[in-house]
Amino acid sequence: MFSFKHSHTNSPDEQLVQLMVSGDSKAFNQLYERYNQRLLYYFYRMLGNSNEKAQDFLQDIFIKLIDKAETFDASRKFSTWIFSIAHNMCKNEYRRMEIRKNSDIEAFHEILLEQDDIQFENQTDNLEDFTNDLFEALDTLDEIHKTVFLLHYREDFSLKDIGQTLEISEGTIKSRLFYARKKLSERLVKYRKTLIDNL
Amino acid sequence: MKTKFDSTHHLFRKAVLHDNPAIEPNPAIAERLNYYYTLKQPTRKLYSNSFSGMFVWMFSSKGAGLKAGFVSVCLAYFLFVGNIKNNSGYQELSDTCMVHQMLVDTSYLAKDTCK
Repeated sequence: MFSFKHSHTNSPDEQLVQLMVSGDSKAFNQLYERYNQRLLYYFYRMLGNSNEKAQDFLQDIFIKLIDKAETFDASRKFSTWIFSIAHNMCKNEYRRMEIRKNSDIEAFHEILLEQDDIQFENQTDNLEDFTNDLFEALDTLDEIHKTVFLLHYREDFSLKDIGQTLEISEGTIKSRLFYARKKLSERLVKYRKTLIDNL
Repeated sequence: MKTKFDSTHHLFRKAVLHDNPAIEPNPAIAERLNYYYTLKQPTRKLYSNSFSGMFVWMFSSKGAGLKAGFVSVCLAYFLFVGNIKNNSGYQELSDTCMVHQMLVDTSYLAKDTCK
């Protein structure tokens, strides 16, 4: 049988948004398929590794996409646009939980420092352990540094793209990324040997 | 030659890409979103108890041939039915043994006998 329906697998994101606005549900499904895992991961790591919260935010961001798709500027990259919405949602959530966050993070930071003292001598080059410790350390950073770090390392966004996503200059992004790396390196001092040997 | 900065950078990337928490999008989310998208589609309009569309179609020139044909068939049918019913000048006769007994008010059969 001939199929007259256009397949969207090779269509760029920006075109899919336009098709979606004109009522093409397949275009919407395709966008969902492309971004659901990425956004879920982003929310999960940004919102204290809470699966439930990440799932709620994932649903909310796609509802926002449906509601506001016609406001998308096609000259912009869709990925930076959707992640800027995701970032704003996280920022609002951080604001909402600010008081709780401060006390929790400080307490968590203290626990982490204690753990550092205990585990300092048990150096390991296991990537699994390093990854776990890295994300524990990442949780001690504030929202903006965490976002910059995740967008750069996980989403492979360039400094320019991150700048567009967060509406901050490239220079500021560079300094925030540097700060995040510095702070993480300090927290992960027990892996210093691994950092060099591994590469 | 790799600098300390490069090593840290690469290890961070390696670790972040290696990170694979056991999380999957809930399939119910996709269903709910699809439903919501369908409701929000710009082409979707709700007509409740509206006959205006039908009247517009009836008096428009769209499908005029079809409509004329349909009206002709209806007219022909009613004329034909009218003709075969138009038999007031004739007495119906029966050539069978069956007799229709009419029950009329004035007949003694219809009178109340329970007095």
